[in-house]
Amino acid sequence: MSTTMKIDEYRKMQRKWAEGKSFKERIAALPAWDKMPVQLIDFGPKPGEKNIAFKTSFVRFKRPVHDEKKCNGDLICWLLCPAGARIKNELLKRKEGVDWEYCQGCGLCAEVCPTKAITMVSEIEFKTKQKEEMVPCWEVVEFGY
Amino acid sequence: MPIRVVTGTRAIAEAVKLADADVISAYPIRPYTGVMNALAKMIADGDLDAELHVAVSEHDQFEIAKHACAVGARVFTGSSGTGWGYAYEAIYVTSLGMMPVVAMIGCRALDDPGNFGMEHNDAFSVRDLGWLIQFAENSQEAMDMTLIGYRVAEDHRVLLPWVVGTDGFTTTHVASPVDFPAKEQVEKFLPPYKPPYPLDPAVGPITRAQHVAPSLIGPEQRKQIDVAMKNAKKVMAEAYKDFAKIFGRTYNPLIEKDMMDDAEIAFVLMGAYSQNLRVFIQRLRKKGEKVGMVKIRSVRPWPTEELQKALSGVKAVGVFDFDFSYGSPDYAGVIFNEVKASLYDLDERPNAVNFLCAGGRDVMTEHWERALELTKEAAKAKPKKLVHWLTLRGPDI
Repeated sequence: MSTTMKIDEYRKMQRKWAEGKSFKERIAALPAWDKMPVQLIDFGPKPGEKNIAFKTSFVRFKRPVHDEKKCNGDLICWLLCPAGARIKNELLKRKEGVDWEYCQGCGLCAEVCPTKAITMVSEIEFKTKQKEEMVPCWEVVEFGY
Repeated sequence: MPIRVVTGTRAIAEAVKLADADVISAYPIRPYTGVMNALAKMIADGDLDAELHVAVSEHDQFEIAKHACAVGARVFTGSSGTGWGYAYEAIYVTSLGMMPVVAMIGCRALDDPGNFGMEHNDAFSVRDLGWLIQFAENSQEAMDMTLIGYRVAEDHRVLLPWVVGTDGFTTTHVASPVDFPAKEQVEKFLPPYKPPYPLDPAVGPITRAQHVAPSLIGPEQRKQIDVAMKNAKKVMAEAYKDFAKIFGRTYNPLIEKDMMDDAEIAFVLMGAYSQNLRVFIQRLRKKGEKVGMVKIRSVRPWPTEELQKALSGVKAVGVFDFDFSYGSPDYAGVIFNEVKASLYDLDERPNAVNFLCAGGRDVMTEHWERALELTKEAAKAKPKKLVHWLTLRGPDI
């Protein structure tokens, strides 16, 4: 049982885990029980960094689509995004401006936009280019729980 | 050191004060109310600098204890019977998340409405979860066990919650003399709690009790608690040794043998009734009967080797159970089956009989006598009937 594991050590392990290409590779990066820190702890990312070990996009059923012509660049969506998935610089340049690994598709950005520049569309329809009802269930599974 | 006559709840409250606990969470339930009231008065009088949270329910109470412990506070809480059951969800996260909370349980029958008799089932409900379950027989032991509890639970080799089991009413509400230790002694015995990973921004952003994905850390996390439980025996031995050195009271950490040197018949039990049984056995000894008694102090970690050593020479063992475990092997009590499992590896096993005193009715002298009779029969030949409901009215089938 490790009671002395340092935060940097843990983050290094976490990065190795997150960057593993296959499930097997990821598991191999995890420590044995006697090297694992006690008390069920998990160190979070450094302030300002994203959590590489937990990408939240797997819960996204709807995707925000950005209309550049309507956007006035007030950055309210960036300010209010609960997942921190809106990227400021790119928004200023009036691009899509979303970090797709973390966007959960909650739709708050579309709700608060004063110029209605963001619309929510079905993630399944966007990915498969088919009507939602037409997509077989085994293909839908990967979009969420 | 002054000797004062106090109840078990008061003794525990005094121990919490001496240990200088930071956070106390409370919800009234007999007998925990006694501890709660005593601690609230100490805080109001300015004798103790701690935060007392009166929760909205037992579930909330144990959640508060758990979270305060995660931040790095020294925590005390407790409940009994039904309240313990209501807090169950928080209770198992406390042990599986390795939070060294110290709690007291004033054992009470699980509430088929209104039963306030003494049964150990509420404490046993957590026996497989990683709690260090100890049983005290009087106020003095309750106080000492609470102090030792902080020392063992907060050791970095253990980090498991510790519960001081006290028999409802017979330990918690009955006053007995207690040797009050001095503050300096306690400070010498009990270092301040230094959590390895406190929830503190100075340490870094930390998540406690994270999501346990079975494929990622499931078995590893369980193994850590298993090893902590194994370490606990060693740490307890050290703590009790230090305790004897500083306070002058010597305990055997796991079991207490009484008149066992030449005993042919042994009784096994725990809790406050060991006082009654001790007097009963002393009377028998005067008559020349070779009877002894083993009192179990620690249910988790279970004293397997110690029991094997203590019971290897005897002819018959009578185990008292103040609990029930319906449908268990032989339809016996919890402690009986644990004792039997411990004796299985012996070459010459003593015959064992079980005396079930479920339901909370008081055990009287006539019951001890009947138990002695039955155990004597078991010493002569292998008993046909293993389990006897001692305090029952009507046919025992």
